[in-house]
Amino acid sequence: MSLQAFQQVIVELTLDPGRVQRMLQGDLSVLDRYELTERERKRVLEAIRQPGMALNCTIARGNRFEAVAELFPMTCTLLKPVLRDLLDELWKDAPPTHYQFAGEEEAFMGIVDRKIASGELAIEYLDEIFAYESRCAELAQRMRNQTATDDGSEAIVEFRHPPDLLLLPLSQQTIPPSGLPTGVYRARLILRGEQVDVEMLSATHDRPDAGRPN
Amino acid sequence: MDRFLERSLHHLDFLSVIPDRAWVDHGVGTAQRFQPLPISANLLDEAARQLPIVLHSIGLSICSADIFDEEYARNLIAWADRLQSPWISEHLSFSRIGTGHEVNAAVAVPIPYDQEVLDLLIPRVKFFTGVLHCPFLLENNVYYFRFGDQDYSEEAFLNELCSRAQCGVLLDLHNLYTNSLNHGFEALDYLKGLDLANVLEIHIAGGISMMGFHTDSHTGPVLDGVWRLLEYTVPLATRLRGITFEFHESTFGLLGDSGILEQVDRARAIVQKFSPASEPVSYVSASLPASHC
Repeated sequence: MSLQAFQQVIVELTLDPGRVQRMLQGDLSVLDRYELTERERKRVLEAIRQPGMALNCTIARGNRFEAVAELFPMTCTLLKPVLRDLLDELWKDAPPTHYQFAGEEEAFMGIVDRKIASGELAIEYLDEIFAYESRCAELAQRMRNQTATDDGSEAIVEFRHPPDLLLLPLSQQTIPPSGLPTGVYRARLILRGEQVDVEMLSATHDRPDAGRPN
Repeated sequence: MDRFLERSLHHLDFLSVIPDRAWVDHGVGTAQRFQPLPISANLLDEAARQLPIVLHSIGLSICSADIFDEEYARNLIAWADRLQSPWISEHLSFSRIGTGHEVNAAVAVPIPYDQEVLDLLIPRVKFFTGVLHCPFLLENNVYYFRFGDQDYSEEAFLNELCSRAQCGVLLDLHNLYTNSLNHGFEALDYLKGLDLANVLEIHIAGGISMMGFHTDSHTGPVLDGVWRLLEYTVPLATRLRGITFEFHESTFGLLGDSGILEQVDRARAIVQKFSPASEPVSYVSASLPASHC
C-alpha cells in the first residue's frame, strides 16, 4: 500500500504544480491523507525542492496539451492570450485518465464550444476556425478508422472571411489581420494522408456597408 | 512519417515503432479492447514484410504499484508474435496509477531503485520472458528529479533485474547523457557499473535546453556527448543487436530526410568500426503517423 500511496503523491504533484507550490510554501497537509513511510515522506519533500520537479510538471502539461494542439493548432494560436487560463480551468480536478489521452480532445472542444456560445471567448475569427478544425478532427477520426489512405475523406465548411486570408497566417502560427472582408465562403475540405486541402466552392462577398458581424 | 518510411525503409536494418500509436485502447475490461487503426496497422504489416519491426511500447507502465495490465501485456505479445519482432521493450518507469478509475501522469515518472520495486517487477518481467518468442528489454529512464536513499543505483538495479528476470536492457544513451548533465554525475561511471552484456539495443537522440535543464526532446541531431558514449559502449556491449535513432516528427523540419539518415549512417559506421565482421546494425526509430490534420 505504501508504494502505491507514494506513487499517487508523485503523480498528483506532477499534474498539479500549484500543489507543489503550496507545499513549498509550507502547507504539507496534502501529505496527511497518504500512508507514507518516513523514507517516502522524506523523498517527496526532497523531490518538490528540486528544480527538476517544475520541469517534470511542465513536460506533463506539454504532453497532455499536445493531444489537443495536434488537432487544434490554429484555434490554439487564436486562444494564445487566454490559453493557459483556459487549460487550468479545463484540467482543474480533471487529471488525464488514459495513456492515449482519450477524451482530451472532446473535453477541449466542449469548453471552447461553451465559452464561444456564452460570449466568454469573443476572439475575432475564433468560432469559424474552431468549426473548421473541428471538421478536420472529424475527418481525421474517420480516416483513422478507414482502410485506405487515398479515399479522399471530405467535408464542406462555411467561413465568414476569405479562408486563404485566415488559414495561411494561422498555419504559420500568426494571427490574421483584424477586419478582413466578410461574406459567405463555402469550401470543401479534403483530407489526404495527414494533409487537409481546402478547395473553394463559392464566395459571396458582403457589400462594404452590410455590417455583417465578425 | 509514412512518406519518410516509403522513401527510406531500404536504408534501415530494422524499424522501431511505438505500437500504442497503431491501436485504440477502449479501456481495461472492455470487449475488443484494442482496436487496430487500419492505416497504421497496415503500414506496419507492410513494413514487416520488408524488415524486422521492433515494438517499443509506452502504455504498459510496468512499474505501477497498483496496476499490472495483463490485457495490455497480452496484446503487446500478440502484436510481437504477429509481426515476428526480434525483441520488444518498455520503460523502467510508471505513468498510470489507480485501479478502476485510472490517472495518467502524462510523463514517465521515475521509480526509487529499491528492493520493494525490484520484487514488484520480477514477476511482471517474467510474465513476458516466459511466453515471448523474443527478448524483452527495459529502458533506463530520463528523470528531472530523483529520489535519495535508494537501495540500489540505477545500474545495479538493472543488473539485478536482468539477472533474476532474464530480461535485457535497452540502453538509452541520450537519457543517460541527459541525467548525467542535469544531476552532475559521470555517464562513464554509470556505464562501468552497468553489465553491458545485457544491452541488446541502444537509443541515441538529440535534445534541447529548457528551464535550465537539458531535456530528452528527441529533436535535432545526436549530440557529440552521446556519440562519445556510443563509441565507448558499442565494443563492450557484446550482445548488441541494434541502435535506434529516436526522433520527434519536428526533426523532419530541422534535419530533413538526409539529416536523419546521416545519424543512422554514423551509428552504422561506429558499429562497423568496432565489429567489422558482424552484420550491419544501425536502425532508426519512428512513431507511426497519427493521421491528423
